[in-house]
Amino acid sequence: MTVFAIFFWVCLTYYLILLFYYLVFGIVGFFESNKRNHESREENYEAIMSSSFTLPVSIIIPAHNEELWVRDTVLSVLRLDYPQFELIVVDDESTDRTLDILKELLDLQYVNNVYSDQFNSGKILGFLKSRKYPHVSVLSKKSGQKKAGALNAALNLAKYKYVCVMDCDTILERDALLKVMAHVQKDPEHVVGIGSFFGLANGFRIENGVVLEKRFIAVPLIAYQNLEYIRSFIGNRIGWSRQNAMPIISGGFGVWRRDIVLAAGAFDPWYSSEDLEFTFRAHDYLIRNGKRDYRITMLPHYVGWTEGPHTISQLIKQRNRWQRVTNEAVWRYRHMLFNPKYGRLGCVSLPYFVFYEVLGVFFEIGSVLVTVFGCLIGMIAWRMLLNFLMMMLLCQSLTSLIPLFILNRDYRLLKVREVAYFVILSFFEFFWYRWIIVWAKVEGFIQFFCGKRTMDSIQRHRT
Amino acid sequence: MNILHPQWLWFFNLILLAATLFFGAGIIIHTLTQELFVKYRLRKLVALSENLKRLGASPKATIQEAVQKINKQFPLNELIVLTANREHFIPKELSEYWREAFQEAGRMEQVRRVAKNGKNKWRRIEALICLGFLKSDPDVDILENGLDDPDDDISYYSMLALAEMKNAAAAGVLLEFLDRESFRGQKIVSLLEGFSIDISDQLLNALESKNPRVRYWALKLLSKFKPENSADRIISLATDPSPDVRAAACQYLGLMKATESEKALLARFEDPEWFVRMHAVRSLSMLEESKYLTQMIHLLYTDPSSYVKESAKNAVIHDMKQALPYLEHGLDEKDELTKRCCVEAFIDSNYIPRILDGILSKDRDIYQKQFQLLSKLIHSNIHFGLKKELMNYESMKRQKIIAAIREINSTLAEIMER
Repeated sequence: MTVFAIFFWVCLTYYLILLFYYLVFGIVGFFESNKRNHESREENYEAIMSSSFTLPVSIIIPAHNEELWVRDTVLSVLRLDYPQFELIVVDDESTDRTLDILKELLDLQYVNNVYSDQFNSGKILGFLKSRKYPHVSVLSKKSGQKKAGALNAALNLAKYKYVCVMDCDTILERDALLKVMAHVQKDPEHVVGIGSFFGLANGFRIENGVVLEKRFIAVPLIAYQNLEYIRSFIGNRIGWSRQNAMPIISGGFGVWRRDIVLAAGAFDPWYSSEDLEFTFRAHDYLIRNGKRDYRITMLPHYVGWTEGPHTISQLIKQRNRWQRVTNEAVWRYRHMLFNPKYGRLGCVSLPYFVFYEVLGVFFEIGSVLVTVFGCLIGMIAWRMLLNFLMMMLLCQSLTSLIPLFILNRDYRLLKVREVAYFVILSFFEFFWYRWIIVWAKVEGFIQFFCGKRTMDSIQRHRT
Repeated sequence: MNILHPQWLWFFNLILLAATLFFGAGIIIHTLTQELFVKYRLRKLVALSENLKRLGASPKATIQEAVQKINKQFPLNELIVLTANREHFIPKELSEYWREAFQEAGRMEQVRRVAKNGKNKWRRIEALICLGFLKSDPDVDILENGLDDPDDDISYYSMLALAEMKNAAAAGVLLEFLDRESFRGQKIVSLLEGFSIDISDQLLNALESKNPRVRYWALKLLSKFKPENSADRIISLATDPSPDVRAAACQYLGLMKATESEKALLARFEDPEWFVRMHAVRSLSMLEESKYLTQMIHLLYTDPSSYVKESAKNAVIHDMKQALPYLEHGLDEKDELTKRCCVEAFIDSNYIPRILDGILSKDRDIYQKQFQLLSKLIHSNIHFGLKKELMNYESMKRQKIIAAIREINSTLAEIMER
């Protein structure tokens, strides 16, 4: 009875703390998003566009079997409103038509280039330069070092002080780089990394790298992923950013100061995915070297759109990898946890990763199993079980609604019927979607302990 | 009370349910009202923008009258928002009329009041931007005070507003601000870049500043304006105590192509900082491509920095005829970096096809010379795109070159044959 009661109370406390955490960061995120929205409205983008002092950026797109997306992604980058940038596409030994599409689109020719590999990023198969766009080059390399290896290979070639790292299925908004770099330009000495919100492109009408119509499709699997993206980016991340405790700059779109990336040892192919681990490493490197006044920031502006898994099995595959990389990074940087040297990162955002992203899955499964079991053996009343499950459901729902409100208040991205649909969906997430994610997390945990470190790519499916 | 039957959980759930439902409904209602409001507002603004566009072709007096009317019709807050975000609504060719009408509408004092003491921070910022657009000289003081506001946003947007004024007074204030907040140098110079060349004197004066960051950024900005007769002052900065300033001075001298700066640049070849040496090499190569070949080669061989070596390499390849013996010698160097730069020199100057053509030559002397060079390149163990170059030759000629390669390195010849 006592053990049972203790476990029950631990689970209940866990959910209440989590709810409190989300509420606090929802409020912080609200103020942060409001501020960034105003900033963006009053910024003089014309002056940034016309200045030769605007910081140039090297954009890196790693591509491995991306024939469905590579054309639109590259075109969306070429259409960016930004005065000076170079684009380096890394073809990671694609076996489909990725390289052929690039050759056709960019009018590529092989060139000789002396190349010095500082990070053991894999054998280079060839350098190609675009005849059509002088600021675009393509690097063809042997695969095997994951996305991190491809990024490192491009880092060897990148010539500008800032590097923008993105995925090959991210379609950028025209002003994506401008909005992000306008923030960097305010204080380039201290802002070392910056990311921004991006959502799912599933269902969007995209032609030649331009999003013609933003149609948030109603298929629940995709809609729930959209809701998750909103919850993750606009909820906690914006709040963490305000506290300068940003634990992740997403690999889908992020800008880093190149000197910091190089000094911290570049991206590490050992991990299942590079983004979370590198953000932790950048913090670790900067703090260990006494550079306390740096900033790693997250903006709420929507800068691009990416493809989400379209089947349950693909979703499980993706989330399984996310769980593995979370475990890997948290384990690697466990010394930061509650370490005052790491400030709010160690005391606010890392604990969230440990207790929610890593251990949360056990609380979720454990709490349901224990209450159901308790109910079956008559130790817990049915009413109590229902109460408990209802609390889990409402916590989940409320944590989705707050970011949804913030996003729509400041960015008016969704129409009324879409908002209504998301609100209704949020009440049902607990009944099935949540458990798919839990399943993926459990799988990820098992594979983490089995030592699996591969970066499984999800199957592309463009409509 | 049974600890597994907490009554309060039921009440807690009721509160949570009420909050969630309330919040959910609130979001939907909020979105709906916003959508309607935005539609109404947008229609109003689009109509205004369309009318203004249509006015563009009308006579001056008509435009003035219409713009004045619009200015008087709008409530102050709306007018401030509209002016601060004018790029979306007011055609550029009408901005002068808009400015005049705003000033004549007798609302300047109200705007100034909001800009000085507005309680809503963002309204205050919009008023500050508005003052910047209106370009009224007395308002420089208000914006200057805004720069020192403890709120970072007010300070930042005061800076943007000052940049809108584009006059000497605003430039002076921004340069003073640069002295106080050097970390904002990049932003400040990017704003000052939009000013006219008239601010050059102020920039030249800023070169005397005690703050090295001010000297550095003033130099950077001057290199965009390139005022006449400034070479002497820039040459003196090539010996500045700050290495950043020395590097910027070297860079500027190259851009100016001032021949009198040759000695100053040459002296910087001995600078303790690699980036100063690098800019000195680059600038000197812009002035005189071949005159200082031996000094450049010396740097290529001896400098510890790869960037300086690379700059020296880029400088010498413009005169391959003179540089060839040195570069050939460089291929035997033990220092890997020097060897790599020499190989790069052959690639960048497009000299590899000449070597291969020499291998095909019937003239024995040319053959011997180019064979020796090819041999050194191959023995350097640095990739120089041999296979790709071979693809440009027809089969017979390719075979002949491969035969020569076989004499140097049989394994490589096999790879080339494949």
